[in-house]
Amino acid sequence: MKKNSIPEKNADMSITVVMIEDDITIREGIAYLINNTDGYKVVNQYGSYADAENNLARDNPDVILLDIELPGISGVDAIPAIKRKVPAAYILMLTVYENEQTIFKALNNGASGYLTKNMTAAKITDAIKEVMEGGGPMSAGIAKLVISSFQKNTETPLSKRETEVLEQISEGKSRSKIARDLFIDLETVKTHIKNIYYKLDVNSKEDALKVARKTRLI
Amino acid sequence: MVINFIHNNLHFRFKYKFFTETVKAKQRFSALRLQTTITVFLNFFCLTASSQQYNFTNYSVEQGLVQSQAQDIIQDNKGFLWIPTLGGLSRFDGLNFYNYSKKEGLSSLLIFKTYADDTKLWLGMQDGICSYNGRVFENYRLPPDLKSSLVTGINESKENQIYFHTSGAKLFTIRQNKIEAVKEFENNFTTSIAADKNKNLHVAVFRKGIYRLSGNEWKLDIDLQKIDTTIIVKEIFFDTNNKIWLLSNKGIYTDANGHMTLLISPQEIKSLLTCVAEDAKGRIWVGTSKGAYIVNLSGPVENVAAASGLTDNSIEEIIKDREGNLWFATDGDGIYKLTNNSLGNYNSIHGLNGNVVMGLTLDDENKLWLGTSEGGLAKYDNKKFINYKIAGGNEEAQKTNSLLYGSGKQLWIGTLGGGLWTLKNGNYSEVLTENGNHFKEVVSIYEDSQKIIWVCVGSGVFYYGNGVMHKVPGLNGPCFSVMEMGKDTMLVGSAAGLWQITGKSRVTQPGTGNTNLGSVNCFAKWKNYILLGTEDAGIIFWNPGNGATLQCASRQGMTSDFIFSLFVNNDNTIFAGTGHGISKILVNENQRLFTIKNYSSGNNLYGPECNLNAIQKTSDGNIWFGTTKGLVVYNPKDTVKTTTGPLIYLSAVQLFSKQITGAVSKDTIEAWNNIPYNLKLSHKQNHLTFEVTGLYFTNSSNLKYRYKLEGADTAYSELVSTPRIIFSNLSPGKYHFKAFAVSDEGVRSGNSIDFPFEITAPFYQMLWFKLLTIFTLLALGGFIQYNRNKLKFKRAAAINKMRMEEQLKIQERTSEDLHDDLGNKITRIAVLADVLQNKINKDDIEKNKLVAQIKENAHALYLGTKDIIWSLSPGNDNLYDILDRCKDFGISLFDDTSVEFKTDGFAEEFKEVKIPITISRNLVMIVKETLNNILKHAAASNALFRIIKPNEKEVHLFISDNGTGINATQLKTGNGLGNIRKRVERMGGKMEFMQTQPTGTTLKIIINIPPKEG
Repeated sequence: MKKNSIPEKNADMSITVVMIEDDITIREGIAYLINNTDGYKVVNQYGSYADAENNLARDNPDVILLDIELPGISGVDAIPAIKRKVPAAYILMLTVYENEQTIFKALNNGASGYLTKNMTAAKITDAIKEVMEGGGPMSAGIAKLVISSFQKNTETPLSKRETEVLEQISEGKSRSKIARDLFIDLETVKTHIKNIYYKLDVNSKEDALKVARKTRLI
Repeated sequence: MVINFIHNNLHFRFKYKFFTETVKAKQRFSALRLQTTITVFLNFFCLTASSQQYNFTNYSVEQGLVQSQAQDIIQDNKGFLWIPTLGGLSRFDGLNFYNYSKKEGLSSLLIFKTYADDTKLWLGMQDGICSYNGRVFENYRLPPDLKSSLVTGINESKENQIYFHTSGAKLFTIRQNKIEAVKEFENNFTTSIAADKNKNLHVAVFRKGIYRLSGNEWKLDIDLQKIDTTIIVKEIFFDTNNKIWLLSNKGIYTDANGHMTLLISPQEIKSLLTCVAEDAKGRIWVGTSKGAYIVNLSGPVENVAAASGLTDNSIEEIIKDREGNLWFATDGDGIYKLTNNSLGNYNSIHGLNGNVVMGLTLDDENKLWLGTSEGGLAKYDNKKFINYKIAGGNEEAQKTNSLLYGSGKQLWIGTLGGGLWTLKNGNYSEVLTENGNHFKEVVSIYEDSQKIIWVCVGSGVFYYGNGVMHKVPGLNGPCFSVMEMGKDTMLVGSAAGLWQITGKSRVTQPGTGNTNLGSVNCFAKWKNYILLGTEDAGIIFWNPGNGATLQCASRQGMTSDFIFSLFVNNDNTIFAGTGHGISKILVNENQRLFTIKNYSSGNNLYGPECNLNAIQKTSDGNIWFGTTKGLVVYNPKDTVKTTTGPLIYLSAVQLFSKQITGAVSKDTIEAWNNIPYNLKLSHKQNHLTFEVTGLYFTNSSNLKYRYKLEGADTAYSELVSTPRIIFSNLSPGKYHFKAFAVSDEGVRSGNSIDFPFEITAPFYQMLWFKLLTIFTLLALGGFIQYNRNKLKFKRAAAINKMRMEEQLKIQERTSEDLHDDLGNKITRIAVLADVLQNKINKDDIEKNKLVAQIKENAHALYLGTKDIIWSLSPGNDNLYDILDRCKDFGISLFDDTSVEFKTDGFAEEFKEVKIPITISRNLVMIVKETLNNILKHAAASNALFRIIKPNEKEVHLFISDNGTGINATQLKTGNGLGNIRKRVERMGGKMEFMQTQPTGTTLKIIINIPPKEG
């Protein structure tokens, strides 16, 4: 028998999900839909970050579906704390309408992507799977924000190809169309997006460091 | 702290030595012991005289006096009392003391004398004289070589020159603001100074006489050497007839037909004489080192000291104020007031055998009999109380509860537990009931016109007949009083209200029209009315003839609603003994109005509690009341009606409830009262509070005021008792605050307040500005017009901007509400539909179809609200973002389709073009609809969205395809096209369908750009 506190992963190696969402109807509905999809399992659900806080490490999920607007600490603000508790988990933001500014902020804080709540079960599980594989959904509006964010940085960490992909996304093109237009694999597009997300995260951390130095915190 | 400081009396104590042994502080203190021995000796003398209690009111440190050793008292020409003490100076207005100490500028707190001329207050100090002009104290020091410089007398000449003398008996004057010795008396001793009614200044000079100042010359008016060579005049006094009185070490002298005659010898009043005054009744009061004396021209002197409610301390000064009240400055006991209309009071101090006087009656020799619940029966022989003991009665019989002297020369005595007794010819006998029982407590005794005696007891009513008391059947509860109403008809006041006994046996309830009387305590007859003294409803006036009633209770001005005794005087004045003293009531029957005067005694706000039916008029016209604090007598002859009205002063003016004084410079503040004059306020300073002070020493607390703000009010206010009047939101203008006071006897104040002030109009309301404006208008009409138009336009723009901002806020809120509430609910529907679909058997096509429809509609609703939220969100109101959204929609719509979608003409400058929400909403919908049509119906391979902005007023949109085109029918009937047309109309634009060569259609939309703001 295991003696440590981390529960054993499911025997069937399902993707484990934790939901933090205050609307109980939506939370339980989506949880039901996920649980009814083979290969996915919602291991726990919480109505607020405060409820989830002490259990996250034990739940040790692969993916956390995190509502942007939570009572108390907002989803966006909770991301860094969640990252510290479960660094390996992917965080997908849940939102009713894509508010690009908020989502971008969440991405900067370390979220790996976002879902609109009215997505069908299939799209939700697809998105979970996608984020597990790296990358995630990205709308044209968010792509524009990412571009302008990197433009501020004189030494952009993005490769030429990644910038191209971003620009294509910001034009509103789908991934498959980007793949066609750039004459690359769909998987390659996804990898680029995954890297963009990664760099976005790193970028935001560097920014944070700069700010911290300025204010002599380090 | 009491400082024992004896100064002026020293002359007498040391007799001739006073000028050789000058007064030094050391001696002053040591003199105290001497005084004590004298006081002890005098005690013997005082005990021999017994006097009545006067209604003195004491004000000392507890009431706010700065220190208890009042050295003098004066009333200034404004009506304020000034009291110098050995701890500072006090000013008194009847209610409050205002105190001056070193903080206010006094150089020393030891003040011995004061005098008020027309403008200044003069203070006799230790080392000279000091003046106060209402702002600052100014000291005039005496030459330092002077042996005694303590100023003990101040006055002024006809020419308004100040003269004063010291305890060393040296006379000085102030000329051209400098102290000068009066040369005539440089080698003499001046012991007193006074002015007569004609303002002639007099001084008493030792070994000479009384000198009068005539012009610059001192004339010897009275040669005292002829009378007594060693006479030392302590005080010169002129009475209302301008007759001179001299207080001296040889007794009291006065002018009798032009000759100075000894009126009171030192043997008659052995205490040291200090001061003299005349009261409103013309009686001469003399203050001494131990209390005061009333000096009658014929007959013995009457000592008025602690036993009479005054003090045994030294009286330093007595004055009569302008209303006729006497004031006594005492060394150690503050000041005392004796008002005219006071009640006399006798209690155990005066030999009464108890303090709770229960029974009062008058015998056939006009002697007052009374009974107390402590000591029993007593008779007052106009000088002293003689006690009687009921022979044969037990201890309880020696406590009297009720008394009646009957027509059979028989005194009926109701006791507090020892039965009912009679006293005739010195013999006591007990009266029993017809059953041979003893009475216990007898509440009241009454004799009717048939000479039948009635008594009220705790268990009903009895009447006398055949040597025993017969019970009235049917009355068993506590009864308080009976009164004859008519032949064979008696009224009974009981704890259970009013009853009527007819023929000694029939008990009925008379209809008073007032069914809720409660307990009825006592009766009296007034005109056609029967007065019912009740327990908590005051006096009920009941007219048994027509059933009419009147009520006189605390609402009408009585101090208490509890009535214990009633008496109607010959002049129809009603006297009531109440739970809080005595009330005198005058009735205006027609107007149903009561004029009520309430009497208290001593320093109390309320009078003592009266006792049941303990009320009796004596042949001298006095009305006596039995109270819980002794016997109280009201002497109508003793009451001098005050015709002098009160005085009134503005004591404070506050702006927004804060004193103005600090806000304006000192020059604009009046002396004495710190009131700003020529007060000019800005239009924002429009909240003023006025505080008035009424000076009416007879009865300060019952003063009422009427006021008016001329400029705002048309008439004076009703009588109000609050001395604070607030005016708020005053509009610009010139005002006069006017007020006067009215005494409780209805006498209007002799003066009134007239305080002018101005609230200035803001400059734009001023005349000069208006004229200037007109002039400028005439001169520069066109220019002004232009400017005004511009201003108007600016204002309109500002209003528009405000409106826009407001609209934006509403938009934002709506957006938030939609987002938070509607968004979540639509999402719930979508999620639940999904869950439902999951639970439905995949083969159930019908149900699946329905769920799919729910999902589809939920999604459509979702997208719809998303659009609305987008357009409502601030920042999405520029042409660029709107078109960009259309473009994004096109890209995602045609993504992964065979149609290639392109855009053209997007320019950054569109960001500057603001589009109102009405246009943007419709525009997005039109583009969406059109693009959808292209995808669904046009079978095109290319779609183009092009924007041209030909000028600042218009934007042209072109949506083209290379498809099959649309025919005329479609143009007319197509629902989508109809929608597009409606939307174009709604946004006030134009549209046009054009066929594109070789194939395809172009929709041209012209949008009018609203003009930029500002």
